[in-house]
Amino acid sequence: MKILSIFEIVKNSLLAVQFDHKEENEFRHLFNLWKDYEFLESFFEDNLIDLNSGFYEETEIENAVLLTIDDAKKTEKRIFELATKGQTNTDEVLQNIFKPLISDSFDITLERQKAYGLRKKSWLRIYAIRISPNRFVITGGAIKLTKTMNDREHLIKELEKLEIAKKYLKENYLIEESDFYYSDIIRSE
Amino acid sequence: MIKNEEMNENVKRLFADAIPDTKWMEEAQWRIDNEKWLDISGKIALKVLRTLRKKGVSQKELAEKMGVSPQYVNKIVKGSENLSLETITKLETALEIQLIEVKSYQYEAEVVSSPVSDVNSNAPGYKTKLELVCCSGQSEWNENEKPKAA
Repeated sequence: MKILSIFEIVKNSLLAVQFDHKEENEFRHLFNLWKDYEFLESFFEDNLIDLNSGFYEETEIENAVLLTIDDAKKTEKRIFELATKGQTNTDEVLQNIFKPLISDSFDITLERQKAYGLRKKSWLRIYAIRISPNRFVITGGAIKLTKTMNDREHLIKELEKLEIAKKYLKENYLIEESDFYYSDIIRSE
Repeated sequence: MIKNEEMNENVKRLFADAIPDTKWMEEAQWRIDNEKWLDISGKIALKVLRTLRKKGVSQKELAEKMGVSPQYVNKIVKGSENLSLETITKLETALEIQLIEVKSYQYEAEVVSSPVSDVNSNAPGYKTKLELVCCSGQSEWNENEKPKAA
């Protein structure tokens, strides 16, 4: 898996990679996938045990699909607003949308979610590398129904994609590893 | 560790090399403009998908029953197809389910505060309205005209 090109989603702030096995960049790919009812119905059917494992509030597949569609729609609108108006003309900044990935894997996240109610946080994740304040490179995304990323194949693949992108940016743009951190996206309210 | 200025130059170069994604902007704008019917199309797609799974019917079999191509059925279940009434009724017949419901016509008439017994029972407008008032539990009687409880 190699990086073919890099696309600019939001001027001077948001980039997305395109891998050689995909026809579109990761950002467009995600939003096309998250509006695809066939994909979502099949995904939740295949991951039914994780869906009802208690990490999130138990729900029917139909409801899970509709929640996902709704979350994706709201998230896309937030980023679309940034893209059309620019970061300086809205109250929104990318830094508000993306959160450090590391907290996603710790117990503290679950505690926080419990305090706010489990559906406060979306299971949608957009994975990115922060290259400077309010500047991110999207490397992929997933529906994350489990606490950590290390025990589900589709999530492990996302970690690999992050590593490939990190290496690519380091080799081609001399951006040091210490300047990166991974981020994910939180539920849009 | 590279210095901040060098880092900025590298980031600038990265952005300069990036290809603007105008296609996503167009697609996102289209999704916003067409949100209402897309929501309905999606809900129909989901019902079709769940019915296919429950009944163990493949998309290909559904396509045969409807007399359309499997590719078209696949477009329907993705939830972004602007479906015609003809297609919706074909889906309903093939799957033996109801997908949409159009509410029955309700006759609206001017409300006149008169006791039920005074209303001509052959006048459908008055009768319908009074029945609705009764069912909704909301009284439109004037306090003085209200029938006294026995």
